[in-house]
Amino acid sequence: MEAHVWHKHPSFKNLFESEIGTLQRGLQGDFKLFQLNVPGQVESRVTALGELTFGKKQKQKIQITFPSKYPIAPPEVIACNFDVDKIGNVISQIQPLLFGKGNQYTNGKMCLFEQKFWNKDEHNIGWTLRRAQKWLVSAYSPEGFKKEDIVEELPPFIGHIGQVLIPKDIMPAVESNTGMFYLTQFKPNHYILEHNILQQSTFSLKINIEIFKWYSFDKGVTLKSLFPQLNGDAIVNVFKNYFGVNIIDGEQVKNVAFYLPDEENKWHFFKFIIQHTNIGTKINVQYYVSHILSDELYLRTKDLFDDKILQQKKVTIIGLGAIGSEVAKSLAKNGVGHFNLFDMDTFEIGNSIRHAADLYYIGEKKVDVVKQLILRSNPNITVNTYPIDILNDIGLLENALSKSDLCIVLTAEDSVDYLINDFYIKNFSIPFVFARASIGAFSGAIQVVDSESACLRCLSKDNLDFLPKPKENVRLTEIKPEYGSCSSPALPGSEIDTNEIALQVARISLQCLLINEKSTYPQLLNKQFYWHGPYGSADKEPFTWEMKNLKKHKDCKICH
Amino acid sequence: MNKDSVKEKKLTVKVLIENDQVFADEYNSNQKIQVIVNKTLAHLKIEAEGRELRREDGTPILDLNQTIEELGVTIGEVLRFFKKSVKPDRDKGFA
Repeated sequence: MEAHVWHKHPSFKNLFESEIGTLQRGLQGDFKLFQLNVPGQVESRVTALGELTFGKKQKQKIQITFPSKYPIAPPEVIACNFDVDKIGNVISQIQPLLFGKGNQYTNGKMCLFEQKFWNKDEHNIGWTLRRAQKWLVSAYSPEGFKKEDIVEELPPFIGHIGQVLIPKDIMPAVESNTGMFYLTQFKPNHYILEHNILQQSTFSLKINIEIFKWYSFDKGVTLKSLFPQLNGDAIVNVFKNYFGVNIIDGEQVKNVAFYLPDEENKWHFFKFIIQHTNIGTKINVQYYVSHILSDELYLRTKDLFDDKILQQKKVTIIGLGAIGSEVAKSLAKNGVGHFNLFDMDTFEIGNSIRHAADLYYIGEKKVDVVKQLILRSNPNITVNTYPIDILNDIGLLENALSKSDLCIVLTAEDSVDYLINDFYIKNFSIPFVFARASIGAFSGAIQVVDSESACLRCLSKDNLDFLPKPKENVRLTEIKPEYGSCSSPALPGSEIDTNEIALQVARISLQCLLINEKSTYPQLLNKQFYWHGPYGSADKEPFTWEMKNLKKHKDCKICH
Repeated sequence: MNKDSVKEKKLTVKVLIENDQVFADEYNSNQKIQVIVNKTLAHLKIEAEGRELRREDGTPILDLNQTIEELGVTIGEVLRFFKKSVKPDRDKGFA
């Protein structure tokens, strides 16, 4: 199939003529078209260069680009500089014009409206150019854009080539205006500050550790006031005037961090590459934008929910297979702050198709594998790992449970489930969530149990500790035991079903952790959940969840 | 006013609607915008309800009693007569 581009497509013939005509007619005297590029090849996009009149007869050269899927996506307008000869031929390179007043992308593209505002039937190039006229009036005014007109945040005025992750907000020591950072480089141009900040290393795969010397500035100093023009002379002067340092002495690459307390983004990282040549000294600048993870990770939920609530919560997970690994990862992504992980197994090839981890992790203990996944979701989490058999443990599980808000049991082993059910639920006043998938992953069950609810024995007495039977009678051939503990036979797609169960376990677990908090979700304590899977079961349609709320059984010896 | 000057005031106006349908016709500049609307509705067999006539720079044309000349429609201008979308076709979500 040939690539779909609007200007070649018969469905847009009249629209194309109309839009190009608008540019050629000149928007009632407000636009002068210099150059129109309607490419013959489908790979290229329709572009136009022209001059837009705005405000009080001011003029601005612009470049217009119609996206290949116009009018589904809006045209782009870039304010730029270029030269034209007397007859309007463009005779120089096109240089985007950056105003530094927000509402503009780093490539110079005007941010004229929110993307969702664009309506392909209502809006067109003429309408877009009218918006561009208003945009230019604001961009050229001393006060810039009004607050209510800002669609896009102020982009950094220096383009960055990489990023530095800072796990939590840090301030330089008061007594000194300079010091050292040890940054871990985890991929090219990307660093994380682990040293003295994190209990555990986030990325097991490291490229390098690099030292960055930080310098702290007084209040009121901004990056823009330091560097109106970011060039070698400005850098030399800043170091000389503020810190009495001659930057061009010593090493040829200077790793530097600036702390600017009044900037919204306080930390700025640079590499200054100093080259001495016959004609003088040249400083090449590489800028790395910083991110405070504790501020940014939960930005999308912060307004609705205080992320600190889950940061305080402690969860113990027993069993880190297909379901456990996904549950741990999901809870970590949702902001749970402390984990105790129990699993004695090693991660093998057969595990990888249903596990949250991939082949990179084979041969490692599952607790260590999941720990790495968790820390990569949020480096500020604390994780205790226990690669032990809890049936042969002396006190570690009890110790972990005594400090936990919730325990999730995901071994699908009767011995473990009943050990927990019979000996621990009464002694620890926390909820326990049990879950398992059927052989073949055709169905699943989740039980939420605490000292007030029906326990696993109560459910058994009512024949309700069951896994729904699929409607179809599917025969599965047993897999050789040497393929590992997670090698239970299954149909293709079983990972999707274990994931389905895992996601509900994570949801239910979050609800249990938030039981005392204001929550818009229903309370799920003491409930039982049954997943009827891709085949459905005798009385349930495929892909349905069933929720029950069964009470303690009068004959249960554990409960009475 | 001589015959030539009347001739000069004739201009072709196009009206674009959804699905890339267009109706082009020649008008006298002293004809009302309502005439363009009526002819477009008849020719393209569409209803006026829910539509909004706009100029090529997106400005809505609210007074259909003004003449083509009064509105300042330029030669070759393509007016837009799309249906106003009252609500999105489907609920907003994210993925």
